[in-house]
Amino acid sequence: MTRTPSHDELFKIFVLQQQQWAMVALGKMVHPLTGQNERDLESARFAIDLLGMMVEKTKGNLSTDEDRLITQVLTNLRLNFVEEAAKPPSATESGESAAAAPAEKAGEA
Amino acid sequence: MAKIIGIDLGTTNSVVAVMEGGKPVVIENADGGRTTPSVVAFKKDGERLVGAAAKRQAVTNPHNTIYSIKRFMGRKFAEVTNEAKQVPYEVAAGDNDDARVRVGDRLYSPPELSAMILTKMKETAERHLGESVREAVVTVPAYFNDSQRQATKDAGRIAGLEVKRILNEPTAAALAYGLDHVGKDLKIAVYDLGGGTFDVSVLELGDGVFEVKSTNGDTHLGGDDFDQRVIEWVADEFRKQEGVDLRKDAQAMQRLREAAERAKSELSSQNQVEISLPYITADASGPKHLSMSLTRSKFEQLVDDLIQRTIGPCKQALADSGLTVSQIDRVVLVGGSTRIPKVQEVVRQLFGQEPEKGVNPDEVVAIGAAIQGSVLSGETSNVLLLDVTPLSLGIETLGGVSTKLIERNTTVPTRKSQTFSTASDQQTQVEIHALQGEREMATDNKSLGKFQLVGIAPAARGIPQIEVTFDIDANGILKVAAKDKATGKEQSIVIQAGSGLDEAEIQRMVRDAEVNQAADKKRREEIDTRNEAESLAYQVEKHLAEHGDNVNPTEKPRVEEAIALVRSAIESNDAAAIRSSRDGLNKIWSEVMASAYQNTTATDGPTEATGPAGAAADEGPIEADFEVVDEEKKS
Repeated sequence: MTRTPSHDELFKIFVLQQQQWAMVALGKMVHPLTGQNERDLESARFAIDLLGMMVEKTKGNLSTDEDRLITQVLTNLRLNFVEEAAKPPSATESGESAAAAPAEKAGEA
Repeated sequence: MAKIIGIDLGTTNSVVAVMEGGKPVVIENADGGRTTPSVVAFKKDGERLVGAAAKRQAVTNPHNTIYSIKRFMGRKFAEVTNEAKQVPYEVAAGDNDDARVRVGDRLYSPPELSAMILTKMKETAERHLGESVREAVVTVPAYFNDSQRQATKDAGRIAGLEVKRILNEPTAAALAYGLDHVGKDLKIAVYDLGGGTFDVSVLELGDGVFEVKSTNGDTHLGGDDFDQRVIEWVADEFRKQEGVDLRKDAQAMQRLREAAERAKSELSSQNQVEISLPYITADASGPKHLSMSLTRSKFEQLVDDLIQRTIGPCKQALADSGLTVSQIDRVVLVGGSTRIPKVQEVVRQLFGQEPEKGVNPDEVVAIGAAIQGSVLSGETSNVLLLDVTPLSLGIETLGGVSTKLIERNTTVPTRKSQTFSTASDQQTQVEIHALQGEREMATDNKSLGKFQLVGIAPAARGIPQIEVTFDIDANGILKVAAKDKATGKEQSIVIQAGSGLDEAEIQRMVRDAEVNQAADKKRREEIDTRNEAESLAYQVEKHLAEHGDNVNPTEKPRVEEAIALVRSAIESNDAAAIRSSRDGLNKIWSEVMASAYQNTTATDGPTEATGPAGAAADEGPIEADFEVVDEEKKS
């Protein structure tokens, strides 16, 4: 028998999943499918912006712990993004894919 | 199902273990240690320390650092006068003449102090398991009497633990050893020389049944006594050389105690050790330094009579078990003191075989307790434990004689009844005085409790029939009942006053422990906040130094000011200021990073054409998100 997680638990899972996705895209964590560190700044930006949107949309509706979690995760991701963006582009980042990624995601949104 | 943890509440060190996936696991404490010193300290500022932190500060705070509290558990003050002289803290008599420890203007009972150690062990287990722990199996020396067992159970209650079973230490060790040998028929002897007590048990293992045949021991004999011998020797030598008696200097004695313990341990692997304590004391001529060599043979000479004292109980246990030395298949050594080569030699000679080396003498008892915990919770089912009561139980009868109802080494739980009568004509009441011990006269045995059976029908002496029943549960805790067969009047007591604590006192201590738990939690939170603040300040500072270009120059002073605020709050050790400055820095840093990120997204990706960086920096993340999407739509 499995238990359905509460909304509080799901919120934390969501934030941490986004963080993981962004960290993979920032090349800070190994990509689960390829087993390589692959940097894709546009995907990272999209994941970070999604979290940024969550912060704004959930304002006043989070517990202190939840607020601290999402704010810290977001600040940390932004810091990593800024640091990564200052580095030269990696081999996996082509101009085409960088341009295509946000368009697809914008479409999905 | 909630876990039942196993705790070895030792004189010197305590260990906690739990069954995980069918295997017993010893849990590391927050300091990374598998054993936790059984030490509690009260600092001048009211802070309470338990474990390694308490032990570390013992030298500078000897009068308020409590160790070896197990030696005082369930004891009357008059029984522990020798032990009390050996410790730097003050042992005093409580309301019932029980041994208590004075710290400042407060008297602490030994169960209360032990509860602080148990709480630490409970927290260690909770941190590991990620869930709260409510139940435990706690071990005691097999030769602990009823009062000492009850005191241990009370300590568990004060710590917020339901003690599901009080388990004898050698039995626990045998369980741990025997779990790997289930299916074999073995007769084993467990020789357990701990920090403060000595126990020996003889057990029979077969088909998962662990049957204790006999047990014996000495509750006033352990590693502490070995240390004491070294301390006495060093202090005597020092007095001969320097004319100064170190015994009068509590701080020097604490340093010497630690050095003696270390020397004893090192002599298990070396033939000679140097005891070097610079600036141990001072007199008019200046500072004095202590420097001595102690050889293994000298050490063996110092402790020889102590080791010899373990032989008697071993022989008695063997005799009581009905087995001969040649019938013993294995000898298991338990307790840190069994690492002493001379102890091993004595055991080897006594049992005519090499003792088992495969068990860790420090951890095996806690592992056994965890196994018993899993048996009680239903997690493990192939083990059945049959333990015995270590001392005979009886009542006082005419002429102050102790009449035994339950002989020592009777398997528990057990129930025995015997019929007694009155000693004089027309006697309408009798006093039932429960006793524990092997001596013939009541005054020589341990008094467990008294009660009156009143309303006996008047008759000539010898006519009334009073049935006295002794009932011992699996924890070895006793209930005594008396019934007048003619009138059916009945009276009973559970022997529990022996721990020296009444129910109201226990309840007060439970509340105190909860309050302290809240205070400890608050303190831990403050430390966490402080660490978090320190690490945040460092992280932000590092980023400013390495990637300061990404931060808007107008915002830099604001960040630096917030860092300075955190640093000054940490410096002043003001918890509220640390929290608020940490939150302040977090907020500013979060805004600055949002702004830096905004600028980076605006200049780094395909959305380069998006509005001026400064404008973006003033907006929140949500606007940035829409800007990107809008831009994509535009393109």
